[in-house]
Amino acid sequence: MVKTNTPKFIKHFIMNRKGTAEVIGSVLFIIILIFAFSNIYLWHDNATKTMNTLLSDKLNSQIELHWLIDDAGKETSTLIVTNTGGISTSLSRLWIVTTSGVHRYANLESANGNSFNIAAGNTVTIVLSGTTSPTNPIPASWTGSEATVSFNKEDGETFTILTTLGNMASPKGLIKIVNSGGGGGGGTAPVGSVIVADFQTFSYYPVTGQQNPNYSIDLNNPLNGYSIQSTGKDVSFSVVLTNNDPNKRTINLNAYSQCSS
Amino acid sequence: MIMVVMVGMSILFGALIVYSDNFHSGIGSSVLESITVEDVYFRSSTPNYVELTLFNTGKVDLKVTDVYINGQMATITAPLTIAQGAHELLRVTPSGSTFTIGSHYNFKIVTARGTGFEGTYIW
Repeated sequence: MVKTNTPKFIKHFIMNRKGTAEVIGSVLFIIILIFAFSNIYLWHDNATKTMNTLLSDKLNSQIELHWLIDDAGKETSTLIVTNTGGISTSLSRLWIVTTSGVHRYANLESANGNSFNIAAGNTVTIVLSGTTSPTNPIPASWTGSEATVSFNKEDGETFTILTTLGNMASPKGLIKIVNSGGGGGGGTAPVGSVIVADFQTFSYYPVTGQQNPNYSIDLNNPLNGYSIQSTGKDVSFSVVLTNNDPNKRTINLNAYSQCSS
Repeated sequence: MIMVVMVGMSILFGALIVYSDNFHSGIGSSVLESITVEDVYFRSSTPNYVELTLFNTGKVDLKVTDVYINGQMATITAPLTIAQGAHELLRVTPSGSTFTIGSHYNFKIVTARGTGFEGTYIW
């Protein structure tokens, strides 16, 4: 017979079965509690990260919309869509509110996943041609970087483009496609209007007096620039101009600069 | 006694699993909901109403249950389920008032999970 030197109180502790169920229950309860909390927390954390990524993608795929102008400076029926963000995006719909207030749309995404994509920093065109469609959706097709929407554009209509990430944009102004020339590697590149006028600030001031330097301009009383009453007389107007040169070069305007429309 | 504890803990574990699943598919998924109101079309018929074209840009399917216009609950034809990435049209009729051209209207779209999406539009 082997006699161990285990103290008596330890033997008693090991051999005592009282409270075993409570101990097991407490341990299991704590394990289940930790499992439940960690399960919900980790799932919620993952869901939040997913939405943060979605929001980040949305913020990084902003688009701009401009009307293309021809060489004569006239607005055409072609929309230029530029992805100004850092990740690619797809166009979802082009919404058109007609002059009679009817809302129409053209689908720019198809069920088979053949979406109209715009790579980061790239430009695509949407050509409006055809007849005004009486029903939704307006027929549309696209290949490469050009889509055609069967719609006859008229003055007074409003256009809004929607991306698959939920970004929306309306035309900001006019844009001209220029040839960048052989020195820059050839090809075409879009440039925005170099000087942009904010016509929300367009005001005119009545001019009295005859010929410079006898003019007198009442700068304290600007009038609405869209309803000039005194026709046939000299007028003075003000409008906030923004230098929109992507290369941020300085544009100098002086007394010899001319404004034309 | 040990058997009672084991059975009790099994029931507790099962209940927590059910609760967790319900949380994931229910109110927990509210963070995954996102709606873009892509078009607001005020219609001048009598009674006048507005057609909201909604785009589900979230990561889960959602159900629009209520719409409030300027804080007043409006009438919708029926709860509208919008699948992920789908566009749906929701017809909303103001209750107790009519739309006026040139006025601002604040729309609050509420989903079954309790998420609210707000936007102000002008007729």
